[in-house]
Amino acid sequence: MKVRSQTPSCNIEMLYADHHGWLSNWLRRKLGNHFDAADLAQDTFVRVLRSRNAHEIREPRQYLATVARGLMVDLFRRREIEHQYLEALAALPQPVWPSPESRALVVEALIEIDAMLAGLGPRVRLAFLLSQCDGLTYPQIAEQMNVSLRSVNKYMARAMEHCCLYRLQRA
Amino acid sequence: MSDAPSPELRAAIRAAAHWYARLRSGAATNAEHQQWARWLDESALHRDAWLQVEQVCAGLPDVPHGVATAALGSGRSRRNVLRAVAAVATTAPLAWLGYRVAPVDHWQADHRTATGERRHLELADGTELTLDSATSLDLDYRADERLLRLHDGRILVTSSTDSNRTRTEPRPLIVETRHGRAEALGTRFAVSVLPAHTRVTVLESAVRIEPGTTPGQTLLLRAGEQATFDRERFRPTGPASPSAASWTSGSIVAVDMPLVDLVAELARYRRGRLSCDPAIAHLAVSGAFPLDDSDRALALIAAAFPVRVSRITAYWVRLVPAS
Repeated sequence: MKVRSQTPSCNIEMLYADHHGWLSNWLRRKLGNHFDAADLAQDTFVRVLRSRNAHEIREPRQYLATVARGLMVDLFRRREIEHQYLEALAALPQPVWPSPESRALVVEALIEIDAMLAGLGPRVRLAFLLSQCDGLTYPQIAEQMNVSLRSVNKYMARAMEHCCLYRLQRA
Repeated sequence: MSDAPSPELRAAIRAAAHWYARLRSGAATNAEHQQWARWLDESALHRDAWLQVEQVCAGLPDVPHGVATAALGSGRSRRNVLRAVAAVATTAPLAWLGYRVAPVDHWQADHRTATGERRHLELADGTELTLDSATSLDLDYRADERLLRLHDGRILVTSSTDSNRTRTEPRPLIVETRHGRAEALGTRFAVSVLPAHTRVTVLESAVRIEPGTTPGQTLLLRAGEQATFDRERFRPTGPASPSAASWTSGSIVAVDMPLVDLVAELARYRRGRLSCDPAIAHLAVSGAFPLDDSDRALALIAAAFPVRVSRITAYWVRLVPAS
Protein backbone atom coordinates (compact mmCIF):
# COMPACT_ATOMS: atom_id res chain seq x y z
CA MET A 1 0.00 0.00 0.00
CA LYS A 2 2.70 2.44 -0.90
CA VAL A 3 0.28 4.82 -2.61
CA ARG A 4 -1.89 5.19 0.48
CA SER A 5 1.08 5.90 2.67
CA GLN A 6 1.64 9.08 0.61
CA THR A 7 -1.66 10.63 1.68
CA PRO A 8 -1.61 13.11 4.53
CA SER A 9 -4.28 11.26 6.48
CA CYS A 10 -2.12 8.17 6.50
CA ASN A 11 0.91 10.20 7.48
CA ILE A 12 -0.89 11.79 10.35
CA GLU A 13 -1.91 8.33 11.55
CA MET A 14 1.71 7.28 11.55
CA LEU A 15 2.74 10.49 13.20
CA TYR A 16 0.09 9.96 15.85
CA ALA A 17 1.01 6.33 16.45
CA ASP A 18 4.74 7.05 16.67
CA HIS A 19 4.76 10.26 18.68
CA HIS A 20 1.51 10.77 20.61
CA GLY A 21 2.82 9.05 23.70
CA TRP A 22 6.04 11.02 23.61
CA LEU A 23 4.19 14.35 23.12
CA SER A 24 1.77 13.66 26.01
CA ASN A 25 4.68 12.94 28.34
CA TRP A 26 6.57 16.02 27.19
CA LEU A 27 3.51 18.21 27.79
CA ARG A 28 2.81 16.65 31.19
CA ARG A 29 6.34 17.49 32.30
CA LYS A 30 5.93 21.08 31.08
CA LEU A 31 2.44 21.62 32.45
CA GLY A 32 2.58 19.43 35.53
CA ASN A 33 -1.02 18.49 34.82
CA HIS A 34 -2.29 15.32 33.19
CA PHE A 35 -5.62 16.70 31.90
CA ASP A 36 -4.22 19.80 30.24
CA ALA A 37 -1.44 17.71 28.71
CA ALA A 38 -3.93 15.24 27.18
CA ASP A 39 -6.05 18.11 25.79
CA LEU A 40 -3.10 19.96 24.32
CA ALA A 41 -1.63 16.81 22.76
CA GLN A 42 -4.95 16.27 21.03
CA ASP A 43 -5.14 19.93 19.92
CA THR A 44 -1.61 19.71 18.58
CA PHE A 45 -2.47 16.82 16.27
CA VAL A 46 -5.65 18.58 15.14
CA ARG A 47 -3.59 21.65 14.29
CA VAL A 48 -1.06 19.59 12.33
CA LEU A 49 -3.86 17.76 10.51
CA ARG A 50 -5.49 21.06 9.51
CA SER A 51 -2.23 22.49 8.21
CA ARG A 52 -2.21 19.66 5.60
CA ASN A 53 1.52 19.47 5.39
CA ALA A 54 2.12 16.43 7.56
CA HIS A 55 3.89 14.71 4.69
CA GLU A 56 6.54 17.45 4.60
CA ILE A 57 7.60 17.07 8.21
CA ARG A 58 11.25 16.08 8.52
CA GLU A 59 11.74 16.29 12.28
CA PRO A 60 8.41 15.16 13.71
CA ARG A 61 9.18 15.61 17.40
CA GLN A 62 10.70 19.03 16.96
CA TYR A 63 7.74 20.10 14.84
CA LEU A 64 5.16 18.73 17.28
CA ALA A 65 6.93 20.44 20.17
CA THR A 66 6.87 23.77 18.30
CA VAL A 67 3.14 23.54 17.65
CA ALA A 68 2.47 22.36 21.22
CA ARG A 69 4.53 25.21 22.65
CA GLY A 70 2.40 27.73 20.71
CA LEU A 71 -0.77 26.14 22.06
CA MET A 72 0.66 26.19 25.58
CA VAL A 73 1.29 29.93 25.30
CA ASP A 74 -2.29 30.38 24.05
CA LEU A 75 -3.59 28.38 27.00
CA PHE A 76 -1.59 30.39 29.53
CA ARG A 77 -2.64 33.65 27.95
CA ARG A 78 -6.27 32.55 27.95
CA ARG A 79 -6.04 31.63 31.66
CA GLU A 80 -4.36 34.93 32.43
CA ILE A 81 -7.05 36.87 30.60
CA GLU A 82 -9.78 34.88 32.30
CA HIS A 83 -8.16 35.51 35.65
CA GLN A 84 -7.86 39.26 35.02
CA TYR A 85 -11.47 39.41 33.91
CA LEU A 86 -12.71 37.65 37.03
CA GLU A 87 -10.56 39.94 39.13
CA ALA A 88 -12.10 42.96 37.40
CA LEU A 89 -15.57 41.63 38.16
CA ALA A 90 -14.67 41.04 41.79
CA ALA A 91 -13.29 44.57 42.07
CA LEU A 92 -16.60 46.18 41.12
CA PRO A 93 -18.15 48.14 43.99
CA GLN A 94 -21.08 45.75 43.86
CA PRO A 95 -19.68 42.60 42.32
CA VAL A 96 -21.86 41.15 39.60
CA TRP A 97 -21.48 37.60 38.39
CA PRO A 98 -22.61 37.10 34.83
CA SER A 99 -23.76 33.63 33.85
CA PRO A 100 -21.01 31.16 32.91
CA GLU A 101 -22.15 31.47 29.31
CA SER A 102 -21.83 35.23 29.11
CA ARG A 103 -18.50 35.03 30.97
CA ALA A 104 -17.25 32.61 28.32
CA LEU A 105 -18.40 34.99 25.58
CA VAL A 106 -16.56 37.91 27.15
CA VAL A 107 -13.40 35.83 27.54
CA GLU A 108 -13.60 34.78 23.87
CA ALA A 109 -14.01 38.44 22.86
CA LEU A 110 -11.06 39.46 25.02
CA ILE A 111 -8.89 36.76 23.47
CA GLU A 112 -9.83 37.98 20.01
CA ILE A 113 -8.88 41.55 20.90
CA ASP A 114 -5.71 40.35 22.59
CA ALA A 115 -4.65 38.42 19.48
CA MET A 116 -5.28 41.46 17.29
CA LEU A 117 -3.19 43.71 19.52
CA ALA A 118 -0.36 41.20 19.97
CA GLY A 119 2.98 42.74 19.06
CA LEU A 120 2.00 46.30 19.98
CA GLY A 121 3.80 48.07 22.80
CA PRO A 122 1.97 48.22 26.15
CA ARG A 123 1.29 51.96 25.93
CA VAL A 124 -0.11 51.76 22.41
CA ARG A 125 -2.33 48.87 23.51
CA LEU A 126 -3.58 50.63 26.58
CA ALA A 127 -4.38 53.88 24.76
CA PHE A 128 -6.33 52.01 22.11
CA LEU A 129 -8.26 49.94 24.64
CA LEU A 130 -9.11 52.97 26.75
CA SER A 131 -10.42 54.78 23.70
CA GLN A 132 -12.02 52.04 21.66
CA CYS A 133 -13.32 49.67 24.34
CA ASP A 134 -13.85 52.01 27.28
CA GLY A 135 -14.85 55.15 25.40
CA LEU A 136 -12.46 57.49 27.18
CA THR A 137 -11.67 60.83 25.51
CA TYR A 138 -8.11 61.68 24.49
CA PRO A 139 -7.70 64.13 27.40
CA GLN A 140 -8.90 61.43 29.83
CA ILE A 141 -6.46 58.93 28.33
CA ALA A 142 -3.61 61.44 28.42
CA GLU A 143 -4.31 62.09 32.10
CA GLN A 144 -4.64 58.44 33.05
CA MET A 145 -1.46 57.44 31.19
CA ASN A 146 0.37 60.62 32.10
CA VAL A 147 1.35 61.39 28.51
CA SER A 148 0.68 64.25 26.09
CA LEU A 149 -2.34 64.45 23.77
CA ARG A 150 0.12 64.24 20.92
CA SER A 151 1.32 60.88 22.19
CA VAL A 152 -2.24 59.60 22.53
CA ASN A 153 -2.86 60.58 18.92
CA LYS A 154 0.30 58.78 17.84
CA TYR A 155 -0.58 55.63 19.81
CA MET A 156 -4.07 55.53 18.29
CA ALA A 157 -2.76 55.79 14.73
CA ARG A 158 -0.15 53.14 15.38
CA ALA A 159 -2.71 50.75 16.89
CA MET A 160 -5.20 51.22 14.04
CA GLU A 161 -2.57 50.66 11.38
CA HIS A 162 -1.53 47.45 13.13
CA CYS A 163 -5.15 46.24 13.44
CA CYS A 164 -5.89 46.93 9.76
CA LEU A 165 -2.84 44.94 8.65
CA TYR A 166 -3.71 42.15 11.07
CA ARG A 167 -7.24 41.94 9.65
CA LEU A 168 -6.03 42.01 6.04
CA GLN A 169 -3.50 39.25 6.54
CA ARG A 170 -6.00 37.03 8.26
CA ALA A 171 -8.77 37.59 5.73
CA MET B 1 -3.51 33.75 5.21
CA SER B 2 -3.89 35.97 2.18
CA ASP B 3 -1.09 37.72 0.33
CA ALA B 4 0.66 40.57 2.07
CA PRO B 5 -0.96 43.91 1.20
CA SER B 6 0.76 45.92 -1.53
CA PRO B 7 3.12 48.77 -0.53
CA GLU B 8 0.53 51.21 -1.94
CA LEU B 9 -2.25 49.79 0.23
CA ARG B 10 0.07 49.80 3.25
CA ALA B 11 0.82 53.47 2.71
CA ALA B 12 -2.89 54.25 2.31
CA ILE B 13 -3.68 52.30 5.49
CA ARG B 14 -1.07 54.27 7.36
CA ALA B 15 -2.70 57.49 6.16
CA ALA B 16 -6.18 56.16 7.03
CA ALA B 17 -4.96 55.27 10.53
CA HIS B 18 -3.70 58.82 10.98
CA TRP B 19 -7.07 60.19 9.92
CA TYR B 20 -8.78 57.80 12.29
CA ALA B 21 -6.60 58.96 15.19
CA ARG B 22 -7.17 62.60 14.33
CA LEU B 23 -10.93 62.36 13.82
CA ARG B 24 -11.41 60.21 16.90
CA SER B 25 -9.69 62.84 19.03
CA GLY B 26 -12.85 64.93 18.80
CA ALA B 27 -10.59 67.95 18.33
CA ALA B 28 -10.39 67.85 14.54
CA THR B 29 -11.16 71.20 12.96
CA ASN B 30 -13.62 71.85 10.18
CA ALA B 31 -10.71 72.23 7.80
CA GLU B 32 -9.37 68.82 8.82
CA HIS B 33 -12.74 67.22 8.20
CA GLN B 34 -12.72 68.74 4.75
CA GLN B 35 -9.19 67.47 4.13
CA TRP B 36 -10.28 64.02 5.22
CA ALA B 37 -13.28 64.09 2.86
CA ARG B 38 -11.04 65.21 0.01
CA TRP B 39 -8.56 62.48 0.83
CA LEU B 40 -11.39 59.92 0.66
CA ASP B 41 -12.55 61.30 -2.69
CA GLU B 42 -9.04 61.21 -4.10
CA SER B 43 -8.78 57.52 -4.92
CA ALA B 44 -10.38 54.13 -4.61
CA LEU B 45 -7.26 53.02 -2.76
CA HIS B 46 -7.93 55.61 -0.05
CA ARG B 47 -11.53 54.49 0.25
CA ASP B 48 -10.36 50.85 0.48
CA ALA B 49 -7.96 51.77 3.26
CA TRP B 50 -10.68 53.66 5.13
CA LEU B 51 -12.97 50.65 4.74
CA GLN B 52 -10.33 48.64 6.61
CA VAL B 53 -10.45 51.14 9.46
CA GLU B 54 -14.23 50.90 9.55
CA GLN B 55 -14.13 47.14 9.55
CA VAL B 56 -11.64 47.03 12.40
CA CYS B 57 -13.96 49.26 14.44
CA ALA B 58 -17.08 47.35 13.46
CA GLY B 59 -15.38 44.02 14.07
CA LEU B 60 -14.16 44.79 17.56
CA PRO B 61 -16.11 42.42 19.75
CA ASP B 62 -18.29 43.95 22.40
CA VAL B 63 -16.98 43.72 25.91
CA PRO B 64 -18.37 45.56 28.92
CA HIS B 65 -16.69 48.92 29.49
CA GLY B 66 -13.59 48.73 31.63
CA VAL B 67 -13.17 45.00 31.23
CA ALA B 68 -10.84 44.99 28.22
CA THR B 69 -8.48 47.48 29.80
CA ALA B 70 -8.49 45.59 33.06
CA ALA B 71 -7.85 42.23 31.45
CA LEU B 72 -5.57 43.26 28.57
CA GLY B 73 -4.01 46.59 29.50
CA SER B 74 -0.49 46.71 30.79
CA GLY B 75 0.63 47.03 34.41
CA ARG B 76 -2.34 45.21 35.82
CA SER B 77 -2.13 45.70 39.54
CA ARG B 78 -5.33 45.36 41.48
CA ARG B 79 -5.39 49.11 41.88
CA ASN B 80 -5.28 49.62 38.11
CA VAL B 81 -8.10 47.18 37.66
CA LEU B 82 -10.18 49.15 40.13
CA ARG B 83 -9.37 52.44 38.50
CA ALA B 84 -10.22 51.18 35.05
CA VAL B 85 -13.58 49.93 36.18
CA ALA B 86 -14.32 53.09 38.14
CA ALA B 87 -13.48 55.30 35.14
CA VAL B 88 -16.31 53.77 33.17
CA ALA B 89 -19.07 55.30 35.21
CA THR B 90 -17.94 58.83 34.39
CA THR B 91 -17.53 58.44 30.63
CA ALA B 92 -20.06 60.01 28.33
CA PRO B 93 -20.49 58.49 24.91
CA LEU B 94 -18.29 60.09 22.31
CA ALA B 95 -19.87 61.73 19.34
CA TRP B 96 -16.78 62.50 17.48
CA LEU B 97 -16.90 62.02 13.81
CA GLY B 98 -17.99 65.54 13.00
CA TYR B 99 -20.45 65.78 10.18
CA ARG B 100 -20.71 65.52 6.48
CA VAL B 101 -18.31 68.02 5.09
CA ALA B 102 -19.41 70.82 2.81
CA PRO B 103 -17.19 71.44 -0.21
CA VAL B 104 -15.04 74.52 -0.12
CA ASP B 105 -16.96 76.55 -2.69
CA HIS B 106 -20.30 75.70 -1.12
CA TRP B 107 -20.70 79.06 0.53
CA GLN B 108 -20.22 81.02 -2.60
CA ALA B 109 -23.17 79.37 -4.30
CA ASP B 110 -26.36 81.30 -4.85
CA HIS B 111 -28.51 78.58 -3.35
CA ARG B 112 -27.51 75.97 -0.89
CA THR B 113 -29.30 73.50 1.34
CA ALA B 114 -27.98 72.04 4.57
CA THR B 115 -27.77 68.32 5.23
CA GLY B 116 -31.35 67.13 5.75
CA GLU B 117 -32.92 70.19 4.08
CA ARG B 118 -34.91 70.34 0.82
CA ARG B 119 -35.94 73.54 -0.89
CA HIS B 120 -38.30 74.47 -3.68
CA LEU B 121 -37.54 77.43 -5.96
CA GLU B 122 -39.61 79.09 -8.64
CA LEU B 123 -37.52 81.12 -11.02
CA ALA B 124 -38.57 84.22 -12.92
CA ASP B 125 -38.79 82.37 -16.22
CA GLY B 126 -41.25 79.85 -14.76
CA THR B 127 -38.71 77.05 -14.24
CA GLU B 128 -39.16 75.17 -10.95
CA LEU B 129 -36.30 73.64 -9.02
CA THR B 130 -36.24 71.30 -6.05
CA LEU B 131 -32.90 71.23 -4.26
CA ASP B 132 -32.12 68.02 -2.39
CA SER B 133 -30.23 67.79 0.91
CA ALA B 134 -26.64 69.17 0.85
CA THR B 135 -26.92 70.82 -2.54
CA SER B 136 -25.19 73.90 -3.86
CA LEU B 137 -26.23 75.67 -7.02
CA ASP B 138 -25.39 78.91 -8.86
CA LEU B 139 -27.87 80.48 -11.22
CA ASP B 140 -26.36 82.25 -14.19
CA TYR B 141 -28.95 83.49 -16.61
CA ARG B 142 -27.22 85.01 -19.60
CA ALA B 143 -28.34 86.57 -22.82
CA ASP B 144 -27.83 83.38 -24.74
CA GLU B 145 -28.52 80.63 -22.19
CA ARG B 146 -29.95 79.85 -18.78
CA LEU B 147 -27.15 78.17 -16.89
CA LEU B 148 -27.57 76.28 -13.60
CA ARG B 149 -24.20 75.42 -12.15
CA LEU B 150 -24.64 72.42 -9.85
CA HIS B 151 -21.58 72.15 -7.59
CA ASP B 152 -22.84 69.44 -5.32
CA GLY B 153 -25.95 67.49 -4.48
CA ARG B 154 -29.06 66.92 -6.55
CA ILE B 155 -31.77 68.98 -8.21
CA LEU B 156 -35.04 68.22 -9.91
CA VAL B 157 -35.73 70.63 -12.76
CA THR B 158 -39.16 71.27 -14.23
CA SER B 159 -38.29 73.57 -17.05
CA SER B 160 -40.54 75.96 -18.83
CA THR B 161 -40.04 77.42 -22.23
CA ASP B 162 -38.33 80.71 -21.72
CA SER B 163 -41.16 83.06 -20.86
CA ASN B 164 -39.21 86.16 -21.61
CA ARG B 165 -41.56 87.27 -24.35
CA THR B 166 -39.29 89.88 -25.83
CA ARG B 167 -37.19 87.10 -27.32
CA THR B 168 -37.89 85.33 -30.50
CA GLU B 169 -35.71 82.34 -29.66
CA PRO B 170 -36.09 80.75 -26.23
CA ARG B 171 -32.78 80.46 -24.43
CA PRO B 172 -31.61 76.89 -23.77
CA LEU B 173 -31.70 75.68 -20.16
CA ILE B 174 -28.47 73.95 -19.18
CA VAL B 175 -27.31 72.24 -16.01
CA GLU B 176 -23.55 72.28 -15.78
CA THR B 177 -21.53 70.10 -13.36
CA ARG B 178 -17.83 69.47 -13.03
CA HIS B 179 -18.33 66.51 -15.36
CA GLY B 180 -20.14 68.20 -18.23
CA ARG B 181 -23.50 69.62 -19.30
CA ALA B 182 -27.11 68.49 -19.57
CA GLU B 183 -29.42 70.51 -21.78
CA ALA B 184 -33.16 70.41 -21.18
CA LEU B 185 -35.38 69.97 -24.19
CA GLY B 186 -38.62 71.13 -22.55
CA THR B 187 -38.73 68.72 -19.71
CA ARG B 188 -38.67 67.41 -16.14
CA PHE B 189 -35.41 65.78 -15.06
CA ALA B 190 -33.07 65.26 -12.13
CA VAL B 191 -29.33 65.80 -12.00
CA SER B 192 -27.08 64.59 -9.19
CA VAL B 193 -23.40 65.24 -8.76
CA LEU B 194 -21.47 62.32 -7.29
CA PRO B 195 -17.72 62.16 -6.63
CA ALA B 196 -16.84 60.29 -9.82
CA HIS B 197 -19.67 61.22 -12.16
CA THR B 198 -22.95 63.05 -12.73
CA ARG B 199 -26.22 61.18 -13.06
CA VAL B 200 -29.13 62.43 -15.15
CA THR B 201 -32.60 60.92 -14.86
CA VAL B 202 -35.25 62.05 -17.34
CA LEU B 203 -38.89 61.95 -16.21
CA GLU B 204 -40.52 63.81 -19.11
CA SER B 205 -39.48 64.77 -22.65
CA ALA B 206 -35.74 64.64 -23.27
CA VAL B 207 -32.32 65.87 -22.17
CA ARG B 208 -29.10 66.04 -24.12
CA ILE B 209 -25.89 65.32 -22.17
CA GLU B 210 -22.37 66.23 -23.16
CA PRO B 211 -19.21 65.22 -21.24
CA GLY B 212 -16.92 68.15 -20.41
CA THR B 213 -13.87 67.28 -22.49
CA THR B 214 -15.60 65.88 -25.55
CA PRO B 215 -17.80 68.70 -26.92
CA GLY B 216 -19.99 67.57 -29.74
CA GLN B 217 -20.20 64.01 -28.47
CA THR B 218 -23.70 63.98 -27.05
CA LEU B 219 -26.27 61.49 -25.87
CA LEU B 220 -30.01 62.10 -26.07
CA LEU B 221 -31.93 60.71 -23.11
CA ARG B 222 -35.70 60.31 -23.35
CA ALA B 223 -38.34 60.05 -20.65
CA GLY B 224 -37.73 57.05 -18.39
CA GLU B 225 -34.04 56.81 -19.24
CA GLN B 226 -31.02 57.65 -17.17
CA ALA B 227 -27.28 57.81 -17.70
CA THR B 228 -24.12 58.81 -15.89
CA PHE B 229 -21.23 60.74 -17.34
CA ASP B 230 -17.79 61.88 -16.31
CA ARG B 231 -15.57 64.33 -18.14
CA GLU B 232 -14.65 61.87 -20.88
CA ARG B 233 -17.64 59.65 -21.58
CA PHE B 234 -21.23 58.82 -20.81
CA ARG B 235 -22.78 55.51 -19.83
CA PRO B 236 -26.51 54.69 -20.08
CA THR B 237 -27.61 52.94 -16.87
CA GLY B 238 -30.91 51.41 -17.91
CA PRO B 239 -34.45 52.55 -17.26
CA ALA B 240 -35.12 55.13 -14.56
CA SER B 241 -37.24 53.95 -11.67
CA PRO B 242 -40.79 55.36 -11.80
CA SER B 243 -40.15 56.66 -8.31
CA ALA B 244 -36.86 58.35 -9.23
CA ALA B 245 -38.20 61.69 -7.98
CA SER B 246 -39.74 60.34 -4.77
CA TRP B 247 -37.02 62.13 -2.78
CA THR B 248 -38.74 65.44 -3.61
CA SER B 249 -41.60 64.40 -1.34
CA GLY B 250 -39.31 63.16 1.44
CA SER B 251 -39.12 59.45 0.88
CA ILE B 252 -37.22 56.88 -1.10
CA VAL B 253 -39.37 54.32 -2.81
CA ALA B 254 -37.18 51.33 -3.55
CA VAL B 255 -38.04 48.36 -5.74
CA ASP B 256 -35.29 45.75 -5.63
CA MET B 257 -32.77 48.50 -5.06
CA PRO B 258 -29.25 47.38 -4.12
CA LEU B 259 -28.83 48.14 -0.41
CA VAL B 260 -25.68 50.12 -1.13
CA ASP B 261 -27.69 52.55 -3.31
CA LEU B 262 -30.39 52.96 -0.67
CA VAL B 263 -27.68 53.61 1.92
CA ALA B 264 -26.17 56.28 -0.37
CA GLU B 265 -29.60 57.97 -0.59
CA LEU B 266 -30.01 57.95 3.20
CA ALA B 267 -26.42 59.10 3.71
CA ARG B 268 -27.23 62.32 1.86
CA TYR B 269 -29.61 63.15 4.68
CA ARG B 270 -27.34 62.33 7.59
CA ARG B 271 -24.49 64.09 9.25
CA GLY B 272 -21.54 61.83 9.78
CA ARG B 273 -20.84 58.66 7.92
CA LEU B 274 -23.29 55.95 6.95
CA SER B 275 -21.91 52.95 5.13
CA CYS B 276 -22.73 49.39 4.31
CA ASP B 277 -20.70 46.20 4.66
CA PRO B 278 -19.60 44.91 1.22
CA ALA B 279 -21.10 41.51 2.09
CA ILE B 280 -24.64 42.94 1.97
CA ALA B 281 -24.09 45.76 -0.52
CA HIS B 282 -26.04 44.02 -3.28
CA LEU B 283 -28.93 42.80 -1.19
CA ALA B 284 -32.10 43.79 -3.07
CA VAL B 285 -34.38 45.88 -0.85
CA SER B 286 -37.90 47.13 -1.47
CA GLY B 287 -40.11 49.49 0.47
CA ALA B 288 -40.73 53.13 1.23
CA PHE B 289 -38.19 54.73 3.52
CA PRO B 290 -38.53 58.16 5.13
CA LEU B 291 -35.64 60.50 4.33
CA ASP B 292 -36.40 63.02 7.04
CA ASP B 293 -36.07 60.41 9.78
CA SER B 294 -33.20 58.29 8.54
CA ASP B 295 -32.83 56.53 11.90
CA ARG B 296 -36.34 55.21 11.40
CA ALA B 297 -35.46 54.24 7.84
CA LEU B 298 -32.48 52.25 9.17
CA ALA B 299 -34.70 50.56 11.74
CA LEU B 300 -37.15 49.61 8.97
CA ILE B 301 -34.34 48.10 6.91
CA ALA B 302 -33.05 46.16 9.90
CA ALA B 303 -36.54 44.87 10.68
CA ALA B 304 -37.26 43.64 7.17
CA PHE B 305 -33.90 42.38 5.94
CA PRO B 306 -31.04 40.28 7.40
CA VAL B 307 -29.17 43.40 8.36
CA ARG B 308 -28.07 44.93 11.64
CA VAL B 309 -27.38 48.59 12.40
CA SER B 310 -23.97 48.93 14.01
CA ARG B 311 -23.43 52.30 15.68
CA ILE B 312 -19.72 52.87 16.07
CA THR B 313 -20.48 56.37 17.27
CA ALA B 314 -23.59 58.52 16.90
CA TYR B 315 -22.08 59.94 13.73
CA TRP B 316 -20.63 56.79 12.31
CA VAL B 317 -23.13 54.09 11.48
CA ARG B 318 -22.67 50.92 9.50
CA LEU B 319 -25.09 48.34 8.20
CA VAL B 320 -23.66 44.87 8.74
CA PRO B 321 -24.99 41.36 8.14
CA ALA B 322 -27.31 40.25 10.95
CA SER B 323 -25.24 37.89 13.15
